[in-house]
Amino acid sequence: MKLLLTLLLVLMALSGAPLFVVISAAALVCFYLMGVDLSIVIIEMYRLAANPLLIALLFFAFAGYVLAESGAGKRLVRLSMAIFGCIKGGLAVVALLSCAFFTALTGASGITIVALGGLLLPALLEERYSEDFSLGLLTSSGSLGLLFPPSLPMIIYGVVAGVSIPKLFLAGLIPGILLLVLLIGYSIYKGVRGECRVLSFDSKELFDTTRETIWEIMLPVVVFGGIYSGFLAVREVAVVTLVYVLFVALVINRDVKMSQMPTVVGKTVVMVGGIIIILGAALAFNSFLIDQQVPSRILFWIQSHVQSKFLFLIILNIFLLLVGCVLDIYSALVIVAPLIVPIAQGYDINLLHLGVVFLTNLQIGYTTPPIGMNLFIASLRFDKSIIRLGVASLPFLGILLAALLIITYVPALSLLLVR
Amino acid sequence: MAASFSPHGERVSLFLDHLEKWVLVLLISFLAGFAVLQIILRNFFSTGIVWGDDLLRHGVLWLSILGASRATFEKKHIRIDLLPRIMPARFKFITDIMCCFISFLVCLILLWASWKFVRGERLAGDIAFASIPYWCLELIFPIGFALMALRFGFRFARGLAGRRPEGTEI
Repeated sequence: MKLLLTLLLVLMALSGAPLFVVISAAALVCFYLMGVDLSIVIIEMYRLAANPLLIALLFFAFAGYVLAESGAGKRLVRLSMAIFGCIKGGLAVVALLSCAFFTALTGASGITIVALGGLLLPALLEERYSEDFSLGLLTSSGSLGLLFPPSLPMIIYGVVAGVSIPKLFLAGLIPGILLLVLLIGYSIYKGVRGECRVLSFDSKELFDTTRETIWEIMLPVVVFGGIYSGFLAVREVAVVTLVYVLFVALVINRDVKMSQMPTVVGKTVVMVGGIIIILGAALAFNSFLIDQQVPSRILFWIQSHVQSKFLFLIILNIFLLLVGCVLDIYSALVIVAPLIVPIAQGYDINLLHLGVVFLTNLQIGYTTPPIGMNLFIASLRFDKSIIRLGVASLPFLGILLAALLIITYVPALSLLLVR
Repeated sequence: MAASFSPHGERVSLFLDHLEKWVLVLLISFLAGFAVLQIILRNFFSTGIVWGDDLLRHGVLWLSILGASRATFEKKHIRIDLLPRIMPARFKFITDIMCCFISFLVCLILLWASWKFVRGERLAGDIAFASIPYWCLELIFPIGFALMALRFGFRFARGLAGRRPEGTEI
């Protein structure tokens, strides 16, 4: 009976029922079989209203969507072209940096590929980068930057694992830079070998673009300054960021109109609501699992088979890569993290480090078949088959995997700035 | 359900759509404005509205659940949909109808559960802030699940009638 119900739920999930429905159904069935009154599911969901970080999630997401709607992406690309265009392989560096910057601010939901991909692909091809290299680069960098503040998935991990967001942002900094540096190294190597053309340095263009982009350049200062100055809580920084972004877009640059606002709000709310309702359902389902002591039983079982932390981390990575293949980053965090966190604690793994490992894995999952969101969005955007993009992304996936190993086995990278 | 097939039903659905969009804009503007006010009060006047945080957190809850209901309308809920991608189009249509029906049922049960929850809270009668009792703030659960159940129900009925479901495919 139980097996049949489980199979039914899995089948539902795979045939495309909304995940929140599947998880709620699981929670409802479990509590029903236990003989508990079903209003417990809503009581658990109502815990959503006790978490102040969801305010930050909402406002950061809103700021990101306003930014995506404005011409910030274009300006950013122009500026970094003026800086890096004159070195060999520089354009690939431009692509990587602007994608990372943009993704950190908009939360990897495919916006980066949509907003920047169409701009960067022709530019890369014109500079005689091979088509495979350019497609692979843009596809895999659609989720680059997830480790930089104010990344929305990081906030979600902080909510689920109960760790401090400012510390988590610090922990992600060096690993995030490592990912970037490795990819940049590969791109420059390709650029130097591939006889790419180089732009001539133009100081006037640099000056012009800097002046144009100054408000966006100041944005990290606002976010970082807000979080680490000690005056503001994370949710207040989110509000300040939102007000800043709105002011720049509506009043200074005027590239977003007031009449676009209902649409932007609509997009934000649909995305945030879609994530938070899954979080609510997962709260209910997880409270059942914890009541049944499922995490501690899994921990006991694993510990009887796997003694070393080293081996556990390998298994964790493989598991998370598989999860990343089938789930998007938000549902993966919300569903899987509450189960993994107590187990990882059993192996004495720092939760900040765990968060960074978690997010790096899931970032890679964005580009892996069969459900890598980057692949689908890039395939729509560039009008290329998913298989072609998957093959083109392989070298980049290789680099990301190597970086993942380093990040996993050198916890100091994540913990250096925190201590 | 029959109403959804008439032009009248279409107009009601469109009206609700607009109404919802504007409620969302108003709500998010109010929340942002209120949050800014709180920051100013706290940092410059060393004061603040004691229940302000509670209000903001409930505001985000309302927005999220209304957003989830909108996601139902726009077919933008996060889902895995592995099978429909590899199945022929005709089956895809069938799984779509099935999913709508199951989602409709689950939302109905959630509606019933949240109704019981709110009724229980009303009997308890605790006051949240500004003489607003908690059960009023929690009303968003039955409202949200009712909206979602309606929307899944509409889509299921439309699917049965052989029409393409509303909303856009992502």
